[in-house]
Amino acid sequence: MPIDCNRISDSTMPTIARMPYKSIICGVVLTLSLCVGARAQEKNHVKAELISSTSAVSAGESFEIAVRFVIDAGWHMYWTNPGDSGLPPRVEWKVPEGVKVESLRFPTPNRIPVGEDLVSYGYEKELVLLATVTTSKELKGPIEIEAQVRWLVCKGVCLTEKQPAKLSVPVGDGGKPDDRFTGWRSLMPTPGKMPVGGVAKDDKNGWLLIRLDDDMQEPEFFTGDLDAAFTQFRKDGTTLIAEYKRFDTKKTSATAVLAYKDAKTGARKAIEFTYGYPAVSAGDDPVP
Amino acid sequence: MKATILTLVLALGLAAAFTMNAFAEDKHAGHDHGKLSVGGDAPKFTLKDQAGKDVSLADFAGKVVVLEWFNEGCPFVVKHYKDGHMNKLASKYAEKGVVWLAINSTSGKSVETNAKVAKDWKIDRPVLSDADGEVGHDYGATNTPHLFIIDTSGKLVYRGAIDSDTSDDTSKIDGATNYVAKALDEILAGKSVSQAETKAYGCTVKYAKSK
Repeated sequence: MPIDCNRISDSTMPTIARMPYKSIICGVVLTLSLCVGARAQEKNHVKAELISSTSAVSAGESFEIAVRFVIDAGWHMYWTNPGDSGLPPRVEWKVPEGVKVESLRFPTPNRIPVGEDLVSYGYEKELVLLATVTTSKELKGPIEIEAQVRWLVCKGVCLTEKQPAKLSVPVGDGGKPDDRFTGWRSLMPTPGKMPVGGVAKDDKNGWLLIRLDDDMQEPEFFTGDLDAAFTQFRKDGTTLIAEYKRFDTKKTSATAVLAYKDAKTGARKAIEFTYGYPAVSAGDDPVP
Repeated sequence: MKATILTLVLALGLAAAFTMNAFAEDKHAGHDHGKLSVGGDAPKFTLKDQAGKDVSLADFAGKVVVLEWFNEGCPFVVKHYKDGHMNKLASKYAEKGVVWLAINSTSGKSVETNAKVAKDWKIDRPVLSDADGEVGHDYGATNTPHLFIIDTSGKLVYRGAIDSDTSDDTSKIDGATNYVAKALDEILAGKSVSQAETKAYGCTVKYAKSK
């Protein structure tokens, strides 16, 4: 039981300092003094670091920044749509004038079963987010980037953790690229189009039908829509059938990611696309 | 081009029609929260509160009852308690005759642990112990927090999130739409609930295994 005390006190204390939270958790199984003692040795379950795509950037050019998370074994972090539970990581940037960090791009998520019948969309072991950084021509170096990185990490229990991170990028010509970015970029879904049809059971429930190419094996469907739950999907011939329940019936379309194994190369690939919810037909019930 | 898309949609639709039956059957195999539907009868239960006293849903027949799935170890629950938001909300509606019950379906939690939390977090309403998860499973509670509203006739009229902000950030509560308050206001005004179902967010309920 002391492990519970360790886990919870470290990560949640900074944000809930005004309530006797630690004492609640710890008081149950341990004395407070033991908990305080234990807390000093604790550390986060995730390490975050910032990495530049280039060793130097010319003023006016753009480059990429990676936020790399190394996640303790057995723990997981979340995609932008966390699935049935969870929260994606967030980064607050502090950059010099003339420097702008665009929005973070997330790699294709994985389905992580939680409990008996719930699924989280997220990542284990390592997660690398990428963002484009633009610079102005007047910029003089080096570019000092600071970030407060916050995330939720779960393994049975869920913890909020945070860590400051910083990076200094020299301004100048002749920068050498960091080769690791090639691999990290390949983990991002590619924007594209998918032929999507559907059958609505009623205004909330129905099925999306996605026509797959022949070389798309082991397809996985991830909705980017936070107001929809996809309870099941399965492949039927060359069609992926995903059963949905949507909560905001005013929304008529949303984004999704379809991940698959490329039959030719065996590599995992993914397409990011927009889908429309099928309209309920006024006449017959489409579901027998 | 339009005709091609239409044909494709129709073809896909047809393919689906053939597979619907099989699909409808196997959906019970996995992730199915559909056991209890909004508008249906709220399952009965009797659970022990933090004082060890039995509390039954039947005790509140004729009243509006809110069920709040609770776990003090979840940052999203902490979000709504650390500055007193959840307690304030429950008190506000208690004054209007609404019963508010917290239910802890977390495996390993007990009457004693709930008593400790209720005292420290100044929760003066029942915190019910459902450590075997039976009631949680009856209601299909998946998250903490996960909120359910039962109307005066014992029907489930709302199921979902507490509010529209899915983060664990307390400072975002005031700017969010509180779905539970909205539904309760409608019920108390004699109207039907306009948004009867939303997607719950937060932690998953840490149920005991093999349920």
